[in-house]
Amino acid sequence: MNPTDTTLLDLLIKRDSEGLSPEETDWLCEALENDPAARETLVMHYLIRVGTKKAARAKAAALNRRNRSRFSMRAALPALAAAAALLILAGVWIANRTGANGRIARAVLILDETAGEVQFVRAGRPIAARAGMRFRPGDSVRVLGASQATLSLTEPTGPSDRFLLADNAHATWSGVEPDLRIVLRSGRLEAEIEKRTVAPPSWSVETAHMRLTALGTRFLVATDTDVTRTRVTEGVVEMIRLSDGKTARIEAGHYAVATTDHGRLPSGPYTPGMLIDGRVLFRESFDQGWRPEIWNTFYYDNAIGRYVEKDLYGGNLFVVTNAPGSDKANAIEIAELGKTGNQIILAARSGLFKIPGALALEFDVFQPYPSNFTFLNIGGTVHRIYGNARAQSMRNQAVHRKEWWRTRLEIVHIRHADGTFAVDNKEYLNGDYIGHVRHEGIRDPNSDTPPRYLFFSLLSGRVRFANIVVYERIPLD
Amino acid sequence: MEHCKESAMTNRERITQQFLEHQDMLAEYIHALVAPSSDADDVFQETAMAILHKATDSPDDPAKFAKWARGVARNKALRHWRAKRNDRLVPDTRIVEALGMAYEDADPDRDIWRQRRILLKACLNRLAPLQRKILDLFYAQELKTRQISTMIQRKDATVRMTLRRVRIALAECIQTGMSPT
Repeated sequence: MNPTDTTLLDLLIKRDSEGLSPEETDWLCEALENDPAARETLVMHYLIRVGTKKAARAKAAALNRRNRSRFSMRAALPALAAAAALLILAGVWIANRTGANGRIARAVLILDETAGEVQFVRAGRPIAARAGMRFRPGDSVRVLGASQATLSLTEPTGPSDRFLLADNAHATWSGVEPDLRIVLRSGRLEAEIEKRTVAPPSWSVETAHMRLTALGTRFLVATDTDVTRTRVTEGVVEMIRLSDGKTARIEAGHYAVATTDHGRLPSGPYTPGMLIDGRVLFRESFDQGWRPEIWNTFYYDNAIGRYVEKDLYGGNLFVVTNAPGSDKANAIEIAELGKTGNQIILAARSGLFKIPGALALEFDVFQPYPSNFTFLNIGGTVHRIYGNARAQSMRNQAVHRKEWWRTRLEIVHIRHADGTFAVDNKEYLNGDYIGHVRHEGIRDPNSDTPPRYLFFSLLSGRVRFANIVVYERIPLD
Repeated sequence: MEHCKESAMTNRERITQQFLEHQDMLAEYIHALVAPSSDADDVFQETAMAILHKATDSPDDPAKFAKWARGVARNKALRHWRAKRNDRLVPDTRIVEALGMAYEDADPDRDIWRQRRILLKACLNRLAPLQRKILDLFYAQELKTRQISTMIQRKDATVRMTLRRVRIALAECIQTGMSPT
């Protein structure tokens, strides 16, 4: 298509739909640079485009509100007439009071649905909660035990935002100034905030530890007296840690933790392995700032998705690369085949840890045949934490497990003031805490480095690994 | 100290008011810069947050606010393109400059453009149902013309032509509404 044969309008429509070729872009630029009428056409084009979109959204929001209305309009007509008169008076008062923000002030938070035992608290007094109740600033809602409540915010011409409260949640509506804000005192809140193309642009959810400012997004916040955790599933949330005002931008697929401590804000991507049905599988990890580490291996064989066998007798070293891409259907299978003493590094770092260092490894493991292997940890020259079958917490995996087990190994290296070391080791199986042992005073004179590799030594048999995730821990203090 | 707090509040109120006045223009400018439209919404929201947080950096002269706000939006769009790392989405500097020029031209006629936005709502209601549907599918649901043609069982060229006619009709409707009677 010769761009000179077409109109500017066609070009703009094409730009919105499929993009322009370089020649067409040049033509558009020339038109805009030289012709004021072309510039006006462009501004008008995007006015119509955005205006159409806003009109369609307002229509959809109105329809949505009508569908969610839970009472009969006919039965409610007399009450509605009285309410309308009051609202008009209140509206005039609010508009006079808040000026440009009058529209914001007309936003209404409603208790949409309740399941189980839910209390509505007004002026410090609990009253029976029922669907359709409107919040006033300072009103709270408590959900007890396994109960749940859904809140929604509606604005006269804006989007509808929804909140789910669960896990003994206690939340207070602060109102609309300075922004739309809910204070979560305990429990869990899941927020679904619609994108806005009108002010106010932001929502805040505040806990004792953090304030989250949300745009169009979905996120989860869980808090108790010690810690608040959040994870974002869509969009972006800006987090401010209240203890020191530090901020972090939490993007979709990321989580963050805030306590009353200062120090680095632990945040990072979460992986499906960390969460089951929206709950944190290794809650302690999450709270303590464990985050998935960039996979870092540097030599020897790739072993993804294939059977690894070495001709040499014993002592072979395999490094598993790209393992986070391996799932159970495409597991890494390693066979000893009589070559005793093969070692397979599942996690490795090329650099040294800063002390105190911490490394954790999670993986699914399966033994199709009886096999015998031991997990080891190396730092520096040789810093052996676990011996073979005599290992205390990291047991010799001599058991023939013919089903997949999710294993997590954590090794935390601590340097004491006197220069000696301690190493904390923890092991979990399928999310259950198995054991913890601290090795005090272990120090190789040639090596004062914390753990750098996590590997296992295959003594006999055959083992499969899948879904390997390496974590590092960001110190909270 | 109290005085500083008060002046910060005043700044915040001033910038909120200016933002509310210009938010439609900003949204349109960002849609001209960033595709797809859902990304443009994200950039708009980030721009809004940045503007409201930068109360102290904003120009005192209200006439300069629009240009300054577009500068913030352009920076947010740049950040967005970098994050996306998708060359196809990154417009060249020339088009970014040309877009800036187009919106600068429109700045002095702010009231006229505001009036046009109001008229657009009425004009949209005058469209035939099929025209409105095609427009909604294209701009609100962001379907490609090919997808719309499959959905409504018309040719792709017909959809394009309808879009073009609707756009001309809307522009005329707005112009007619603006002209003195």
